[in-house]
Formats: sequence, structure tokens, C-alpha cells
Amino acid sequence: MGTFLLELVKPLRWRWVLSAGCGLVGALAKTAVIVVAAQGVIGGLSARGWLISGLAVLVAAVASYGEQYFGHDVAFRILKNLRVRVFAHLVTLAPAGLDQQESGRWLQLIGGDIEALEVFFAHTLGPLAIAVGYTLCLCAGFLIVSPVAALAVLLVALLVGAAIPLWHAARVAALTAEAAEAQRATRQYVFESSENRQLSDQLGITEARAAETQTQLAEAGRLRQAAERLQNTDRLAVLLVLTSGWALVVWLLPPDAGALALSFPLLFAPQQALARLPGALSRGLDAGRSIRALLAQTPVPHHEPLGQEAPTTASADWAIRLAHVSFTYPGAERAVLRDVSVTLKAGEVVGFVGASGSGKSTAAKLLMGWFAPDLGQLVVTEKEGASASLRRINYMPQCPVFFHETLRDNLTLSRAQPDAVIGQQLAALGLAPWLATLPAGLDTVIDPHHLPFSTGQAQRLELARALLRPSQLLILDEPTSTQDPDAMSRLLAVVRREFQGAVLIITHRPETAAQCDRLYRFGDQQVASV
Amino acid sequence: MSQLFHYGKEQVGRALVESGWGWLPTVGWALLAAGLIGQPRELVWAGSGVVACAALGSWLVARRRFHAWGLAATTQLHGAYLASLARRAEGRTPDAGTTLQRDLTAIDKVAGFYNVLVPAVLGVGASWVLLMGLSLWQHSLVATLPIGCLVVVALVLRLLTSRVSRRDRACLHRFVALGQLFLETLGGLTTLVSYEAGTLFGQRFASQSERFRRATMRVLQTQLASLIAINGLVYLTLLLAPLALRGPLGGRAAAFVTLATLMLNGRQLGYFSHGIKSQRPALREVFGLLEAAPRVTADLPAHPQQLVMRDCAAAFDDQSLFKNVSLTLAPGGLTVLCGANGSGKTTLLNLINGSREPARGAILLDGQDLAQFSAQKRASVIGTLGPAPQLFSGTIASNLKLACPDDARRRAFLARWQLLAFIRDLPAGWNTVIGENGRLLSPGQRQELALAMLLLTDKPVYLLDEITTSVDRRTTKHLLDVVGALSRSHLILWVSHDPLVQAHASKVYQLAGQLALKGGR
Repeated sequence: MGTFLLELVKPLRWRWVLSAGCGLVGALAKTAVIVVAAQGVIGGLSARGWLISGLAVLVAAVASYGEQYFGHDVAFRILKNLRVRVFAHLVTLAPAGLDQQESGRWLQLIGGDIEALEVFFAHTLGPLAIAVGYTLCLCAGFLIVSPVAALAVLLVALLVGAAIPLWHAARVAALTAEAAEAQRATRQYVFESSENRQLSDQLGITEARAAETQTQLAEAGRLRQAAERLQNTDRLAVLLVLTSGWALVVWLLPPDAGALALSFPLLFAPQQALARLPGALSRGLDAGRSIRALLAQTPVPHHEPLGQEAPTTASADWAIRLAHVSFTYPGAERAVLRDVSVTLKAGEVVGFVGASGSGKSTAAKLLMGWFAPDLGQLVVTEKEGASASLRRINYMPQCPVFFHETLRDNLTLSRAQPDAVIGQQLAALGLAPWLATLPAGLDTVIDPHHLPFSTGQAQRLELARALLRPSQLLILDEPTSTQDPDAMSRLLAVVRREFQGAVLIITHRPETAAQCDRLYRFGDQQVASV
Repeated sequence: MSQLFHYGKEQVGRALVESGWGWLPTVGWALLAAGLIGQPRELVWAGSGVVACAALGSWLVARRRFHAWGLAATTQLHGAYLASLARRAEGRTPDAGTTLQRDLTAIDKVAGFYNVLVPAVLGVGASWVLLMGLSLWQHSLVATLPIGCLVVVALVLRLLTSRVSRRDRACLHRFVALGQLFLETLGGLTTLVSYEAGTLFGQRFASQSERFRRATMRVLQTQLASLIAINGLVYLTLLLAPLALRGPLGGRAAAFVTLATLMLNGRQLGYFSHGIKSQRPALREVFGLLEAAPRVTADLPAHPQQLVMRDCAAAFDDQSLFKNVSLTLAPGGLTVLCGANGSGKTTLLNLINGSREPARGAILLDGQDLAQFSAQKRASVIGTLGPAPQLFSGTIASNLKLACPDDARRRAFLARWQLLAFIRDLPAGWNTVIGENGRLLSPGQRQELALAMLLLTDKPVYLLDEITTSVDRRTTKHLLDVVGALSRSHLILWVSHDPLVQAHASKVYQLAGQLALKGGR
């Protein structure tokens, strides 16, 4: 685990060194101020002593600024990079890998968990180095006065900075990990409660879910509390060690070292910082583990990245074929498709029909390469059997998807397109009058939670999005289900006119099926050409 | 922030005892310093005894209950917050991203206020009283040092405050925005990937992350500016101590150690209060949500026989959708509503279930005006289902159980109407895991399951909106028979373009600016 996290620091190591250096200088300066002040209390402080200590105050203040600034700078840069990496990884997992999606959990990963790593980078690595360096300097200082006292100081430093933090570390780590997992589970639960609010109102379980959430949160709180209690015991142990060490060292020190004797219990701040660490550190390590686990998930082999040279439109001879394909979903027992072959050619409108769950959508997913077939293969041919590996497929899902962006960006997905082309496409789909009612036109920002259009219009906008991107195959999943009968035939006419590639329509509607050139009927793991 | 003291009150006594034991070692150290550095040596034993007692006492107290105040207070705050969300109508609650990123995070972090900040303030106060005693005894001015330091620190912090809170707000805003962008993009990731826009939206996410990082660094800079001030002043105060101290050596030593622990703990307090303060904007929002009083409502009729829409009108952004719509629903047959896309069919249903308010007109259930009832209240008698249903992760069985916990009644109902026939073909049957929002089921299966759940809740009124768009013909026919049979005893309004559905209706209305009876059996 440590190596994974340390790897992240590597590119920023000089900033980190700066932070630790400032920290060490600051810690030494603070100690100097305390010892000099103690000397002043006992009596006999020279003018030079005052001057040096005044300077030390300044150094302490500036150095601790440097320590914190550079330490956090390193931490926040790493956190940002991790966030971006996790996000990019999720993109590679999509779409097949998203079947196990748990949005609330993943949000906690991007938010709370990555945040918890700050403690590792800003408050663990640096202080560890600082405490080691500081202990050496402190011992050296005592060595000048009394070698035996220096040994006692080393003993106290080791007890406070190493033995006590390690005493409960394993138990604290276990409790913290458990609390963090409870927190992730709760976040997922809250996410679903929030997203499914209408359903929970219908079922009359909104209050019950709120109460359940409170119980879960309280449970996570109790786990954290148990970890804090162990930390409290550590704190008391530190107190006892410092107190007895103090008595011992005063007894060992020569009588003229009064300043060291008086300030002794105040000299172990860097080691005490380590003693407080286990809780926060194990939270950070746990977060690191869950992030690494996600990053280690390998994508289901699919959609080979398209090169720039990908043909934008289909040639007349382009065809895509599933040849003798069998497929079973990962983890499922029963095959969805067994020895199935379908062919789609450019210029054709082909329909997939059949009962729910008969494998229509699965066949479409195999065509798109979301999953690889267990047996058989996916064949794409350009002309006369010459195989073409590159394909570009537009998929229009049943449930329209919109983003919190302008209408233009929602339609083009940020691919530059002239407004005129977009307007033309919307007009062809009968959306021009609706567009005219929008005061900001294509610049209207769409709020996905309150879509300013009906479900039927949303589906037509989805179709516009698909037609705006050149592709060789257009897959329409139940395109006409929420369309009124007039709009339905008009849409299909637009598709035939505007789109040159192959069109695949997945449908239950006999009226829609009747408009296809050919049909494949799915049922009982098999496909029949109709 | 004073609202924070309203929570966990019953544990305040415990917190005081805990803080008291936690502070006691300061006295021990003062005695030890006097004994070790000055005279008499008996004070060493006294001091050691006090420290040992304090450690034992702290440990024993913590063994029974630890940080009880913080736990009780955050639990109560969580409870009040969640309950206020539950009371609020859907649409008036913060979205999932805000709840998770802003509100719950802030409440979690506020535990530090109860567990660390308040005990530390009390400890510092007690140390000052001790110092005051020592300085009276020694006729010295040492007790004024921390006060002077505090005044200067307060002045410096005051100068920084407006900047701090502005930056805190900006940072919080970025954090919530980042979470919202993440959730939203995750929701549409399949589309983005198939349109090869994943990387592009990745870049967008990266730039948002970068903005959040910058906002955090800006917050940090202001916090660190005050850190310089606090650190400098604290150590300067320590350095001034020798000038203020008088009297015998033992007394001076005791006062010095007390002053030093006070100042160093006080400094920690400065850092820590920043952490709590940075949650202030979020907490203000949370308390705002708590304070808004819920609507007090009467009870709806449990077995209504009639739903009347009288002269209703709806508009979207000042554009009239429809007006003069009057409609009566009664048991005894299925009512179907059709109309062109965008004519306002879904809006009409939303007027009835309370998701939207009519621009004009009234909706009466057995003569009672629905306007006085919140959407949540209406949901107890009016069941609504749309084309993209919501489901909870878990199994088919666990979802059905949520709709109807009574095993016998649930099985009897499903068997009687022969719902969810597709489950026979699933290897895991009723225990099939369906994933977040049912993503592991096919769209048709999702719709069937959601309808079965809705019907299991046995509400007197059902509003169905294009609920069979992904269901195959045979199943659609079967569901039509079921809903048709239920419509004899229930009030059912079904929005559909499907000629098959319309053929089963006793009344078909068409919506086009106004409502017109189109046909029916």
C-alpha cells in the first residue's frame, strides 16, 4: 500500500523535501525559543540570548508557514491527480464495467476518501521525517550537557514517537477501516434514497429510510469513537512517559542545566504529533486501498479506440455481422444467445423483435463491442469481404441522457458543429417550433433534473444527437415508444433520408417493425430471420 | 454556530467531566515544575500523584463513555437533517451530490467542535485561572500575557475574516460542483463513451478538479497567514514570560510551565477552529433546512371515489401548455390520455400528484382540494409511475418486499394476477440481483417490476405514464388485462400512444391545448 502512495509523491519530491526541511527548522526554532525562555525564567539571560531567541520566533513562524504550505501543496496536487485518474479509469470501465456501479460509493471515493489521503501526504510523511531529524538534533543537544541524559531523551522520544503509536495501531486501523466502509455503504444508501425519492414516497418508506440512515451514521460514529478511545489511551500513555521521563532526566542532568530541566516536557511536540497519527493515518491508508482496488479493475475487453483515420461515413458495401455467436453474461448460468448469426448492411433498416429479455439488446451490445462473444465472432467488412476493423456506431438509448451543459453541447457532445447544421437537423425532426420558444436557443443550459421538454421530445433530441455524428451503424433502442403515431413515421422517414449507414431498430411495436426492411425475431437463445 | 449547543445537551455533563480529567495533568505539571526546579522536593511526589490520578481517572471515564457529547450531538443533527429532508417535498430537497458532499460531510466534521474544540477552550480557560492564581500569589503580571496575546490574535484574525469566509464559500461551492459533475457524468457515461466523448468530459472533470484544488489552496493561504500570526505571537508571549515572572524559583517554574502549556494548546485551538469555521457556510445551509417548518396537513380520504380536475391550466416558462382542462376519474373503467409530444400529458399527471402546481384551476379528491396537500402526502393515495422507473439496488424479492412487507398477501397478489412471469426464466429467480436502479435487468423487466411494485402498494388512485414502452406485446396485453380489471375498483389514468392500450379504455381523452373526448368503449 505504502509503495502505491509513495509513487504518487515522486514527481513532487522536491516540494516535499522543502516542506520537511521547513518543518525541521521550525521545530528546532520553536525548541530554541522555549529553552531560551526557560533560561530567562531561571535567571541569567544575556542580551545576545534575547536577540537570538527573537530571531528564532521569526524563523519558527515563517518555517511553519513553509512546512504547511508546501506539504499541502504536494498533498492537494496528488489528490487532484488521483481524482482525475479515478475518473479516467471509470471511463475505460464503461459501459460494461459499470454494471456494478454504485454511484454514492464512488462519489465518496472521489470526495471523502481522496480527501482522507491528504492526511497521509500532508500530515504523515513530513512529520515522520521531521520527527526523526528532530530527535537526532535533540539528542545531540543533550549529549553536550550529559550523555546519560541524552540516552534518556532518546528513550522517551522512541517511546512517545514509535512504541506508543504502534501499540494500538493495528486495532485502530481495523476500526477505522470498518468505519470508512460503513460510511461508504451509508453514502450509497443516501444516494439511492435521494435519487429514488418519488418511489420511496409512493412506497411510504421515506421516513423509515431516513431513520435507517441515521442508525447507519450513528454506527459509523460509534466505530470512529472506539478508535478515538484507543487514541485517548495512547495520549495518556504519552503523558505518563513524559512525566516520568521528566523526573528521570532532571535527576540525571547537572545542576547548571536548569533551562533544559524546566523545558523538558515541552520539547517533544514532533514526536507527539506522531503519537496522534494512527487514526488519521489508517483512514488514509484505507482510502488508498479502496482507490487502488478500483484502479486495478481491468476493463472488459471492448471498443478498441478509434483512430483519427476512422471513416466518418459508411461506404455502400459496409456490413457488420455476428457470426455463430454464443454469449453468457459474466456470473450468469444460462446463455442469452446460442449460435446466433445476424448481418446488417449499409442502407438497410433492420428490426430486432422478440419478448423482453430474449437477447435483442445483448445482440446490440455485442455489435457495439461492449462485450466480447464467448464463441463466434464479430465481423466488419468494408467491401467484397475486405475486413475493416474500424467502426463507429451511434447508440440511442431508451432512457434519454442529458448533461448539465448547453443544448448545443448536449447535442454535439462538444464536437464542433456549425449552428446551422444543428438547426437543420432539429427542423427535420420537427423540433424547430420548440427551439424557437427557447429564449437562449442553443445556448439554453439544460438542467438534467428539470428537463425543459417532454419524454417524447427528449427522445427526438437524442436522435438529433445521433444523426449529428457521422457513423456507420445507428442503433435505435425502442425509438418510437414514447412518440405519438404521427411523429413516429416522420422520425423513421428522417432517419432513412438523413442516414446512409445501417440502421438497427430494437422494438416491440408491430407498427414500427412493419417499417423495417428485414426483421430478426429473438426467442429462446435463438434468432430467426423473418 | 450557537445552534450547535442545542444538540446533545443531555451529554454535556459527561463532556465536562471528561474535559476536567483531561485538564488535571496541567496542575500536576505545575507542581512537578515547582518541585523539580525549585524546592521543596515533596511537590514532586504531589505532582506525580496528580498526573497519575488524572491519567487513571481519564482512562476510567473513557472506558465507560468517550466523546459522548459529540456522538450524541452529531447523531441528533443527522437525525434532524434527514427527517427534514424526508418531510420536504421532492424537488425542494438538495440533490444527492449536495446532500452527500456538503451536508453530511459538514455534520460529520462538526463532531470535532464537541469533542475537541469546546474541551480545549475549557482547558485553556482553566489553565488561565490557575495562572491567575499563581500570578496573584507572586504579585506578577504573567496572567495578563495570554490576554494580551489573545487580543492581538483576535485583531489579526478579524482583519482576515471577510476574506476567509469568502474563500471558504468558494471552496465549498467548488467541492459540491465537483461532486455533482461526477454523479451526472457517471449517469451518462455509457452515452459519452459510445460517442467517444469520454476523454473530453474527462478533461472537463480535470479542469473542475484543478479549480477545486486552487480554491483549497486559496483557503489554505489565508489560514496559513493567520498561522504565521498565531505562531509568532504565541512564541513571543513565551519569550516575554521571564520579564513578567516574579517570586521564588519554584513558583516561577510552575507559572512558566502552566503558561507554556496554555499557549501551546491555545495555538492548536487556533488551527482547529479554522477546520470548524471552514464548515460554516455548509452548516448555515443545513440549519436553514432544519428551520423551515413543514406544512401541516389534514388527512386525505383513504378510499376516494372521485377525482375531479376543474378548469386547470398549466404553463411552461410563460408558454401556455393547456387550459380549461376538466376531467373526472371514477372507478368503473380505464381512462386513457393521449396527445402529441410536448402537449403536456406528463405535466397533467404532475398537477394531480403534486409535483407541479396548476397555473389555474383546482383538483379535488372526493371534494377535498388537493392544493393543501404536499406531494409526499398525496403519494399515500396516488401512485405514479413513469416510463423510466426507479428501483432500489438489491434483489427482485427485496424490492417487492418494500412495496408489500406482508409475505402472504404479496405472493397471493402476484399469483392472482400472474405478474412478473419473466422471473421463471431467471436462474436466480426472485433472488436475482438487479444492481443500482435495476441496471442489470432489461428495460422491459424493469418496467414490469416497477408496475408490480406499484400495484402491490394498493393505492386507490394510479397515474401511469407510458409504462409499457419496453414491454413486449404479449406482456403488454396481459398488463392491460390486469390494470383494466383493477380499474373497476380504482381510479386509473393511463397516458399512452399505444393503440392497443387505447383500445382497452372506456374513455380516451386527447390533449392538444385543451382536453377533448376522443373515444372509448
